[in-house]
Amino acid sequence: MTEQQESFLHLIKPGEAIPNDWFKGLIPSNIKVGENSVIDSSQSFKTFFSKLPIALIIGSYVTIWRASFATEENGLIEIGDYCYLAGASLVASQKITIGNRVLIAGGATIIDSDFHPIAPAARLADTIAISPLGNHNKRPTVKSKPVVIGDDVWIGYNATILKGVTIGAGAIITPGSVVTENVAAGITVAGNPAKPVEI
Amino acid sequence: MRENIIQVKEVDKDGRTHVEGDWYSKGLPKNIVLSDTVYVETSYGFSTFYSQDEKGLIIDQASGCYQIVDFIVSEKGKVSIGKFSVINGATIVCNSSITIGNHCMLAWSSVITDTWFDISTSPIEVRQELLINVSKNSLRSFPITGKPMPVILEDNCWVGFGAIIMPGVRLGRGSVVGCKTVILEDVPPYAVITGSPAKIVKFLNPDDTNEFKEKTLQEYLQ
Repeated sequence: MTEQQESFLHLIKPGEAIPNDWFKGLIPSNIKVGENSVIDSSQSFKTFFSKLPIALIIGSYVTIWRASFATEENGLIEIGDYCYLAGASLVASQKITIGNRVLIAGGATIIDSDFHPIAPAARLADTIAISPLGNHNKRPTVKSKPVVIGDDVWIGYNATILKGVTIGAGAIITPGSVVTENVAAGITVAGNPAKPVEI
Repeated sequence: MRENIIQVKEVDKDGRTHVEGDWYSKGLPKNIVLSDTVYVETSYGFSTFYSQDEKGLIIDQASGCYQIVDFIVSEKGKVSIGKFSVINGATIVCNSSITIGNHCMLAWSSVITDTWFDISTSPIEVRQELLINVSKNSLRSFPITGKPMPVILEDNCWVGFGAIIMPGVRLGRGSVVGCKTVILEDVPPYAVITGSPAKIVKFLNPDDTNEFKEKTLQEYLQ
């Protein structure tokens, strides 16, 4: 291994800082991690607000870099073994479950809520609650529904998986897809909204 | 000349280049050739730049990499960016070659990739084995899956935010790719292509002649 190829990834240790991390943060302590799972920076947890005793479960041999784990107060994220997340955003206000050997490419977003209310008045209230002057705990209720990603699913660059979606084992979400409905096991989808395609 | 974005560049003892104003301390790898008028906002996007080519990345005069531009480049990858191009928060994934011409604009979250995996020849068992192997290698670098196919952006292309240019594609001169559009096939010169799946919605008047360019360079660069 040349010097240039020194890894920028480090073991994920709950409650601890990452060596030489450019972002001055800690890995949250309310997470559970298997063996040999690695990450590049604690910046991934900048918006990890979950207060659950265990709010993130990461399996073994998981690789995470430049990802973002955004959780609301009761958000829970579960990730299986041998997953690879590069530049993905996971936004959980309720629950996101990811199986084993799931690949999530750069720019992909998985979100289990609409993040903001739809109704104009509630949306207006939300802008006040999340403002620098507001009280984050008073945010209006936002619709959410858990997302489940099955084993061996591959998710391409900039794909988006929206609330309530279940993706069956082995499915392929091609780059740029916007997935609004369940995807059956083994299927390949593309487009916005994503539809099954022939391979 | 926009004095505020002409950067001082310093080479350290390991040959890495540090650009003025970079908030990330690692600097740029040594096998990168930057013209003196190139702007690179930060070296942060180079942690996955593993090209072993003597000139793994070439950026010509007056082009800029604004915000974080991610270069995910493997040993044999070679990226070249022409003159007066604007690369803003894009991701470039290169295992063979990616050539970006002059006067191109790439918006944030756009992805230019010369590699994606071949779905038809990657059954679930192959993908399972691949991820398990990746997870056990110390660098966790993702192996090349599928055959890399060089990507070319001819001069004066505009790629909208979140758009994806897939392997083997050539974007014709003067073409415009709408935001979040996924490009799987070549785009003819001066086409405007949008939507998902992508559709050509019109052709533009090719008024960006060399004569016009020369005149404008003289006028603007005085």
